[in-house]
Amino acid sequence: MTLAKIEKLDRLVEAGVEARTAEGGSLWHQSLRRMRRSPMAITGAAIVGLFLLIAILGPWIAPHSSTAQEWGDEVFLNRNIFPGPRAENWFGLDHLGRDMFSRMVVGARQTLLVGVVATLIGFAAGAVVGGVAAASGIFGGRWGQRIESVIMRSVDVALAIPMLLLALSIAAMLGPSLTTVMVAVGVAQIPIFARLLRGSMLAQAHSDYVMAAISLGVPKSRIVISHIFPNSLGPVIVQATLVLATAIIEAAALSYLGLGNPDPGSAEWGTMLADAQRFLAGAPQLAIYPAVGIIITALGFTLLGEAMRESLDPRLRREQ
Amino acid sequence: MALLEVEDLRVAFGGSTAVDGVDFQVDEGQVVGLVGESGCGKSVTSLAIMGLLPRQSKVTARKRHRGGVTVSGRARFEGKDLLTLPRNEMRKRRGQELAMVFQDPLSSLNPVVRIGVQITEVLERHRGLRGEAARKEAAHLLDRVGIPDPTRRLTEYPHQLSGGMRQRVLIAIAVACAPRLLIADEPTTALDVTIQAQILELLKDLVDSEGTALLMITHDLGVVAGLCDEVNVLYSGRVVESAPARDLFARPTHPYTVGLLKSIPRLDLPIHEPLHPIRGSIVDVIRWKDGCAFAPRCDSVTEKCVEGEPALVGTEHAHRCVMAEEIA
Amino acid sequence: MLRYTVKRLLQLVVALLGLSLLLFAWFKSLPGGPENRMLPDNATDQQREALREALGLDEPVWTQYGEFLGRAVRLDFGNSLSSGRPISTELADRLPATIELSLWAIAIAIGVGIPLGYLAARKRGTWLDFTAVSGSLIGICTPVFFLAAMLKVVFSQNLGWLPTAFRLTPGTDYTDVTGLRVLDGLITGEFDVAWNAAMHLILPAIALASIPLAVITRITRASVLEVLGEDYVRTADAKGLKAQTIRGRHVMKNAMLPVVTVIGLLLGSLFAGAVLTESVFSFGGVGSFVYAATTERDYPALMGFILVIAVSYVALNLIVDLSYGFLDPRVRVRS
Repeated sequence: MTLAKIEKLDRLVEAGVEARTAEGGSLWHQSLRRMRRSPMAITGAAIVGLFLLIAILGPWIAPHSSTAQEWGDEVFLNRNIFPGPRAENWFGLDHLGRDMFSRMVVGARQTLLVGVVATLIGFAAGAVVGGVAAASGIFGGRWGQRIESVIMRSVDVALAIPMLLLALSIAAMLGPSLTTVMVAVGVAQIPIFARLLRGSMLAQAHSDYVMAAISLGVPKSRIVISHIFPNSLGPVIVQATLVLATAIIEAAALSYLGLGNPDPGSAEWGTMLADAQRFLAGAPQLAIYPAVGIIITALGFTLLGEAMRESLDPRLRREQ
Repeated sequence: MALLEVEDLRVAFGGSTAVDGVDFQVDEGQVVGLVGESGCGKSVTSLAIMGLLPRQSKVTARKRHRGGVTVSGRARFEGKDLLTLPRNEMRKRRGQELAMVFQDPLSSLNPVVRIGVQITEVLERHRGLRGEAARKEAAHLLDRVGIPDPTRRLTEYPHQLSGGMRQRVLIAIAVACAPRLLIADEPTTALDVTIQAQILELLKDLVDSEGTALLMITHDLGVVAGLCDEVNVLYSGRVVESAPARDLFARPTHPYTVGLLKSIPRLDLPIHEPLHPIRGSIVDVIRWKDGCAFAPRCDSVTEKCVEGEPALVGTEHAHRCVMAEEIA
Repeated sequence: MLRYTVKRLLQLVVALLGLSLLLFAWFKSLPGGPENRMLPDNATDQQREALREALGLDEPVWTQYGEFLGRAVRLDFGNSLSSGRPISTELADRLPATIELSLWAIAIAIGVGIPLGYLAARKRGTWLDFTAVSGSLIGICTPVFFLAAMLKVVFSQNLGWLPTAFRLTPGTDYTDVTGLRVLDGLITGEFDVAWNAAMHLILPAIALASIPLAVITRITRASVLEVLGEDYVRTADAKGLKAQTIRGRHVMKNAMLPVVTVIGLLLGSLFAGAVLTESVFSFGGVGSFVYAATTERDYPALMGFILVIAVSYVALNLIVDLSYGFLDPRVRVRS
């Protein structure tokens, strides 16, 4: 739709093609080497690594239950009494007398799940839409090109709708639940992935090795599936890393708007942050813990994604 | 007195030395060539003279040697050392007394500003011309550098012009204030061969008619032969041979100069005569203070070559080779 | 330039038609259809039929779409299911608040972000650069509603420096001219109203500005850095031009190109952020209206809102694209 969004996507595509065609796989290795020297990439990878570790091991690390209201009798909502950090509960208690630290640790997994599933929905559906468009555009003859044109115009229209609005209308349709949040955030990402993958595939289709495969008589479907598609994924994966960060933040926003998980028992940072808004005046810490968790995690994925993009971008690469 | 006297000019980016004690001079109205292969420090020398190094140099910006540029030595222009001149003083001289033409005409013109404005802003700054007067003078300048229909061109943008025309515009900007010294950094490298000759011809005409001194920076000995009065051959940041052009081509003394001349393909030689490229590349160097930097690539190298710093010998035709007599 | 403009306008019309089709399809595919939401659970089939007929739901789909489109063009989106009032009236009542808030936010973002990004680029590698870069990264990753809530807790509730909610202190008399309170106050000479409204705007506007500010700072910095390394800036320096001429005409004029486009894109997230910020500060804009519409499944209201926002978003982006074509002569030729 808008020039810049499209241009930015196209530049990412260019980066992927150049990385691929210049020296085969070696440029990918070069990017990796460059990333290992970049403090941005290292910080991002460290944060993401730690977050993944907590998400996987969460239930085993957590010292207490994340759901049982073990200290329910020590919390007095109406008098704003929320016991803070202490030896037994490092982050204090939440409004129902549950151990905040355990909820944070256990909640990492749900949060990751929301981000990953949302991203995967966007990625998968976007890949289908973009892939079909590109494949029919490349090999479908005149009709294929028409199909591609129709699909891509629709994608451009969808790109024009602000993402949260799209998510809101989907959420309104499905009713409040964690699934709603994941679907809503994921669907809103489809157009971006579709555009990116299609651009990337078209660029691959014009590269020398595809020409070579065509001249060797490799069937078209095989060229698309086993050559063009896998080689186009580079820029898409970079984008997915960045989308993961957005997805976690957007999911929190939808939870805040009351479209998230209606079950207050489950531990998920976005839901916890949304719930904590009620006690903000008396117990801001209830909001700060999950918020800081979300910010740091999103930061980690953003740093990692940006570092990947920079290391792939031919224009930035030349500078080094 | 020479118009420009460069003495022991040294430029280092962080730890790496780009220019390592360059000496040469340019007399009033003279055309002087600065010749060498890429990386020998010829462009850096010109940027240092223009005072364009510290902030704007692409090399610095890219390599992130923040403020790591050190410039020393002297570059006396009409007796005043340009290297120690306050920034504002330097700004007043740039574009007025010294001007520069760059290598890539497309990227050297601002893509979003009309040609007219890019010319008139110099006239406004240094000659105080404004409005219609400035526009008239700009059109006149374009006409002088051989651009047809100059009034229309003034309202156009760089991308609407051809490569040769863009370089003509850059030249028009450079000569707008009739500078005493014009520095041209590979002004024809980015152009088609047929255009190259026209641009060189134009430069020569302008310089001759105004009595402007020209410092021509190039890797192309053909350009030097056709244009220059004096030639300085640069290797690894230092002048290795300096002579009147005719003399240099007749009696090249330094093995590097000899190598440069030999590596030019020539049509008047027998067809099976092989080319004589210089071995290795400019990265194989010794530091000048330990010996001749060219020694690792030199065919006539002896132990004498690496016994300390070789001096520039001679006045009219100077060279920096300890083996010169033996080779000759 | 004219051809470029016409082409962009045509694209806009096509995009909006596509969008209306998309919305209509979505509306039709809702579980059970809108009539279920409008009738009590124990309604009879006859009542149901009557209502369907009244709503025109028994007509062919294309006729319905045509009617929908026709009404939408006249800004008639039907009545809100929750309040029963016309949706366009509801929106007209609330939009000025959202517009005022968004204007302030974008003004803060541009006013602070561009100079900050420029400084960060010029002082690359210094603590200022580092602070600007890491600050903007954190800004991008901070949920807007959390920032809004924290600002409210700290500056309104704990420090008591600024009001906690609403657009004006309740009970304040004011004259409505444009609906933008500060502007109205200045126009009518009620400076106390303007001041009052401005105080109410500061916190929400800062919260809403956070993401655009972060993005603009980053883009400006990257863009200025790229331009500073360009040959034409060196040429400008070689001309001996004054520092401010180089900065304005040669650096900023080029560096602003990507920034302008990004500002257009940010408008989308600005609307989204407004929904969240307004609900924290009970600001009374369309934000709270949408919030209510979403939770109460007031589909017609939601649809009207999305159409209005999408139209303004697309239109604003058209303006941005056109100004881009104006700023960069190369775009005019390309299209």
